[in-house]
Amino acid sequence: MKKFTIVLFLIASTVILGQNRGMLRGFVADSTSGEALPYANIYIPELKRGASTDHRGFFLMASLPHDKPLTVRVSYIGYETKEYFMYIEPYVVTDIRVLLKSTGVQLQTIEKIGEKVAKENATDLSLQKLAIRDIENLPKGVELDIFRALQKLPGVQTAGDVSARFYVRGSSSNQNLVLLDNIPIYNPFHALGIFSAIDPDMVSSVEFYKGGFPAEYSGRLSSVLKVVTRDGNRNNFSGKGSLSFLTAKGLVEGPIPGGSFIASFRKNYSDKILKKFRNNNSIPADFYDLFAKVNYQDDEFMQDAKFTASVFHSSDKVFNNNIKREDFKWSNTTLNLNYFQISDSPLFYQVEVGYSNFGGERIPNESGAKGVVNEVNDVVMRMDFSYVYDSKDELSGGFKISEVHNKLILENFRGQQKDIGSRGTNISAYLRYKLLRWSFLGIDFGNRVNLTRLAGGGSSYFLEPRLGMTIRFIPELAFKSSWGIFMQDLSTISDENEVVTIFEPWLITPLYLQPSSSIHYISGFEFTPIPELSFNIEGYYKLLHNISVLNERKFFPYDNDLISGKGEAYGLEFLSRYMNWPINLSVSYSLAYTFKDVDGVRYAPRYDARHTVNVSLEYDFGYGWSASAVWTYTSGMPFTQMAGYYERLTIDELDPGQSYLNSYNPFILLAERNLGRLPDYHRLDLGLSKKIQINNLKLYFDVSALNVYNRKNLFYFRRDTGERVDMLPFFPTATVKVEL
Amino acid sequence: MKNTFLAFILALSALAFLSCEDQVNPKTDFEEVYVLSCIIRTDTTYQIATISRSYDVNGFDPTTNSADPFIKGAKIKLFYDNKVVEFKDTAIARESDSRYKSPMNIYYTNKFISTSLPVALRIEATLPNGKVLSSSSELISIYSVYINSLSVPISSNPISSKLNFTWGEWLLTPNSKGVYYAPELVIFYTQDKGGVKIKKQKKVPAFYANTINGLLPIYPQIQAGIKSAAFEMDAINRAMAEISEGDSQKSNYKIDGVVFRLLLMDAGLASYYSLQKTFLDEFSVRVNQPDVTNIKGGLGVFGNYTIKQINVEIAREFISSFGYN
Repeated sequence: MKKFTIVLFLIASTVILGQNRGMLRGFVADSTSGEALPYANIYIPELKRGASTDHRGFFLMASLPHDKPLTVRVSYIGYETKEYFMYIEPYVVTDIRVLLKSTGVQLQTIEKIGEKVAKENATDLSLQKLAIRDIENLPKGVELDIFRALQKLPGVQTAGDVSARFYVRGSSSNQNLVLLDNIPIYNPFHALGIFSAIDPDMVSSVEFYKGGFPAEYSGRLSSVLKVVTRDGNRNNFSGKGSLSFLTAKGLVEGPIPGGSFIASFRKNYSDKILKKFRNNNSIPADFYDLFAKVNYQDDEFMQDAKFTASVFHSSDKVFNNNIKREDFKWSNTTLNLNYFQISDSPLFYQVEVGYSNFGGERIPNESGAKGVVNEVNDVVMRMDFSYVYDSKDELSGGFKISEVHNKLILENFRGQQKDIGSRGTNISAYLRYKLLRWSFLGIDFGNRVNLTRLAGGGSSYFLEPRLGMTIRFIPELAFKSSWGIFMQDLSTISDENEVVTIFEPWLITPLYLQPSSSIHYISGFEFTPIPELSFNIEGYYKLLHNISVLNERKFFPYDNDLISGKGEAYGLEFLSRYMNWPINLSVSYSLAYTFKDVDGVRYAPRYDARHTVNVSLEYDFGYGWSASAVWTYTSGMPFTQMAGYYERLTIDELDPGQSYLNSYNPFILLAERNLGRLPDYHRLDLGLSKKIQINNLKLYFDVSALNVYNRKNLFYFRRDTGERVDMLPFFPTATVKVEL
Repeated sequence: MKNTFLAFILALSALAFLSCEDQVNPKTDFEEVYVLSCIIRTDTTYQIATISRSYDVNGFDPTTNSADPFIKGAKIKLFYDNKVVEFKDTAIARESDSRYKSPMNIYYTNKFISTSLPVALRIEATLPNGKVLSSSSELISIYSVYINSLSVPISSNPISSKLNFTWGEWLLTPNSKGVYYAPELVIFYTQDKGGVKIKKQKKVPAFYANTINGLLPIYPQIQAGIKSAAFEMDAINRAMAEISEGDSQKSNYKIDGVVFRLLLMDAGLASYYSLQKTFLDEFSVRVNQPDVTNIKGGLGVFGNYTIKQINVEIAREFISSFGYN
């Protein structure tokens, strides 16, 4: 593995010498607000080369000729395309700043060529980039929700309507890394997990890796969801307010000297709507979340530098006002300080200090339930850099120090409390090289080395090599592949027998277990016969080792709380998209097989859906009217059936003289684990939106109907009564948003 | 284009007519499973075992089953120390509130004689249909453990804040899986209730823990490899007071004695006994219940235990300080 890293350095050093042409670096932003436009398209027709902006709105095109004028065409959905005619300076980086003007129309014909060419050799297998406007066009339901939007992607599963938790390619939900501006959030859910705690109004873009993610990401086995927040309006003060059946929320943003700010607040004002998600049982949930961010970017203070400070907090309480019932509360807090620097050379680097806290508590009162107190305090410091060579190759790297304090106080059936948490530091560094010098081939290889384990001691040296590759045979067809090893040292104690969980407590993987690891093998084809139409097909095979599983055979206090299990997942995913104004259609299908191996028993976990189909259609009628429809089909999820009953000897006390002959009680005889399958799930959601603009005042009206044909999708059976508990019934809802 | 959109919606809505509610049965085919339950108490010759079969009911209330699942006609043998003890089958009357009206089929023997050394113990039950249920363990000998006699009495002026008990193992076979211990301190007392004397006992916790629910009694836990147990004097005081809590007539209580009891059991029984009662909150939904068995070929439990105990001296003035006799 050391050889692998040395080779990486050698390649980097050889191409450093090769810079003899010009480079174009640009920043693309909205002309009204000055906010960055992520994933905008840049195209130079003379060279038939393209690029797209990153989540910060930056793009960089290397190895450009400096001896002839070039046309730089910049386009973005819903914005007027702009063209620049320019000469590129030799040997230096030429900077441009592009401000695009909104057309006021949600969807419109855009320049797709730039995007297509930019993807020529991009090593982006299993990566979905979503601008927030992509999500906004889907039926919103009670609340627009990023996590629920992800569930429409092939390879992403949900355990039911009642949860926004998502399961990616056969992995449990605790194997997904959720980053808010690079800081992990440990339990980003409101109201028993029905909604995500991230308010979409504060989000600029979302990058979602379903697997095979590059070396800059670590700490989870399955996927990475990177949420990038907005900077706020740099030019004008503005505000938004919106009201749904569940929450009221407000957002203010505006310029400050040398930068901008944005602040949002959301609070639920009613819990009545939540009943629909829980079979008309009350959920006395009370939650809010807030977010604030300040940016400072003043070239007089520091050339090409940007400073950002942000804070996020979400809080949930489920208080029953009844001493005989238990109460719950949990919260997330993140703080982030970021310094981002663009240098004169094609080098970007950033230094970041962040803090993430999760605290959760089950307060039993006099209910008989047992108390749980969980806390995670994670202080992260990281430094990352990215350098683009004149050959178009890219070198990036960085290091990360994460100090985690974890508390998990469990109470056993005798009322004894024990803190099984621990504290520790993870120090890791990575290096990544992207070989992009040939337009038909892209290779992305990197390696992350973990120098310490969070639990301390034990074997701490862990390498996470990653490899991605793209071969474009013809402009319309590319083969992509990726492979990688991934490590996770912090996991949740999730009880698979619970179909509804309030929150899953986090625990540093104890020393008696090895850190969890996974290996991903992914390959696929991308076919784009015309710019408006694309087909993607991906196959994956994933192995999971040493996954932490709740020890169901913990009989004694000294038995370990967790045991080690294995997992295997494989499948095939198909995604087709057609985007041609006024239609935006996507169809996806996934075939998936997932297995877990715990205590010598191999079974399909609860989220193993064999077939999943998603059809999504958006239509822009013009004049501010748009409509959308989403149909979802999932073949039946596994569950354990009942095979009868038996008389079980119950021993409350081993007393002398007791015969136990009257101590037999009926007990359910379960069939083999998860061999049964629930009925197929399917549901149609419809949405209709109207946007009205009167001068600076914008009004948005949204009406959604979930489960239009009132499909009775089965959630679970109550074993004691046989009662079927169904998921969400037909459910109309509406939101109104005012923007000034 | 608008027509295309409408056609799409109509096509998808047509799915509503396919099925709005699929019928699915939470039960699979009934599985006939046999359940052997036998807990050997090694300090007596009389032992009991039961064998029952699984059953199903219409619906989901197992208490509606009235067909007696306990079966007769099986051959049960106990193998240990080069001896074989056979159980006989019989039927005994049930309690009046039982949902089964027929006598209960059980198996018994009064020929079990424990050994002075721990030896391998195996049970084998051959059912009338030829099916065999079996389980193995290790016999817990009453002689394998001794409790050190205690010289310090329970008094108002103890020399230590804890009452300590220690014990040791005499004889264990080299491959012994070990003995699991459940130490108990028990106060025996008599309550005079309107002239009726009722014998009762009160288990003393090792200590009371301060929890978010207030003070909780914490009892010694079942463990292997331990050689001592301690009970805080504060816990003994509190337990003594709890005997007559809410009753102002303290003189109606008479302390008959205090016993330190050591339950010794094998691993199979210890696991079964310790299976944690799982409490769920109001919102979490658990679909499966935990279960444990050590019976090969079926379900149930096979284990053995014995009890060693010593009397603990309790000072008269200590008893009187609570107003008891």
